[in-house]
Amino acid sequence: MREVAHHLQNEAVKLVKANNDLADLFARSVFNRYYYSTYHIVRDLLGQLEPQWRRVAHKNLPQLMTGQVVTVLKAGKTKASRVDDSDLVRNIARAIASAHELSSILTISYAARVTADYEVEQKVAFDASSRFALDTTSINDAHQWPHKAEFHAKDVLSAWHQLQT
Amino acid sequence: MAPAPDITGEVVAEFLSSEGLKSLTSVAHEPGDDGGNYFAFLTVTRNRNNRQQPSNDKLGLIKVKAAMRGIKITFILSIDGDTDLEMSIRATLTANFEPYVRSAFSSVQKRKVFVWLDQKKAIPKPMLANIVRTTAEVIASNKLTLAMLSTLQDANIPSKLAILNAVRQLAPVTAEGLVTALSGRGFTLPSEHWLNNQLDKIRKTNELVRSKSGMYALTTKALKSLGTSKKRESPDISRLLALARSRN
Repeated sequence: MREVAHHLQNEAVKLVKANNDLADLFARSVFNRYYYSTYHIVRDLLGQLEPQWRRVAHKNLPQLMTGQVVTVLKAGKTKASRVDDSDLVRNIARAIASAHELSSILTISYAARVTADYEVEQKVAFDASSRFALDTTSINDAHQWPHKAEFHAKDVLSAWHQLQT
Repeated sequence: MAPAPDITGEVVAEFLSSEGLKSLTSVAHEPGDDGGNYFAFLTVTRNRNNRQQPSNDKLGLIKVKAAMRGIKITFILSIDGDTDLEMSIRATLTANFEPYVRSAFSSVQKRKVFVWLDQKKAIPKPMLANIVRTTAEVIASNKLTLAMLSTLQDANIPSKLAILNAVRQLAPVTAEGLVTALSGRGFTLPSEHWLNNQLDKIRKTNELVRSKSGMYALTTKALKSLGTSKKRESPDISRLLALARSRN
């Protein structure tokens, strides 16, 4: 899906001069695809943590990350510190920060996706250097979402794994 | 409360600007059964006292006022300069530590910056110290402070807690048996020698005992600090199941 997004991104830029309306539609789809690519990464992570979390609705994912996921990690951190496992305490602290980060990436990317799909009057702004932005979200940021999400997902998963008995 | 039928994005934007939000860039509506949700995109700045403008208290109050009118609002804040900071950290680190750093990510929370490194290979300690110093400098030049810099470990090596949990479940167990059990749980073990070293370390803290025949078991101290729970995942139940399985 990331490749699709990237392809659309190139097409949108090519179209700007010839047909601005069409370029706008392509560019909107790029934000949509980058969001879904990010969403799938997080959903896969959650499915590995707890199979039933795979079915959680889009808009509830950020709260699930900062809520239930962080609660389990924090309980694990207490356990690890009780047996003086300082490496694990540090890793869990990092995983908690990553869970918060995933939540915020999801919130931001979901909001951008909603703008892209429903707010058609809000046009994509193209600049001279073949970049574009939808409202405050630049395509550079959107491009980073899935990459970041993957990274943070690994962090959460590896800490989670240490806590399974 | 059900929203009035005449609420639109413009109405919401007008309401927000009447509440004094000047830096609102746009409003996006997410349809839903309960009238949906409005995302309000906002650029926040810092005043002379380093306080966020508009403050989160103020935004919270506006949310409540909006809710009274049946409008659900989620604020999406973009901090001036946040993206630039991440880009400069990434550029600096990949330029200076090219053999080690593939990419870097950052996040600003309350003027503190969290940085994550995507590393190409293990980073030796003196090099890591170097990287931390460089990162702190980039951040300081933006008048922020570095809260945490962390690297991702690729190898999924069992922690002390994971080892203790496995011993608890399988005791009495040999080092070899632990290697099998931990690998079965998806952990990567550098070698049996590595595990023996870990077991020795834990033995020195009086959390493990080793019998003459090379069997390991937890001490009362370890059992007490591990604790138990009454849930389905209770370690006592896992132990019972493991015992039952070993009798077959």
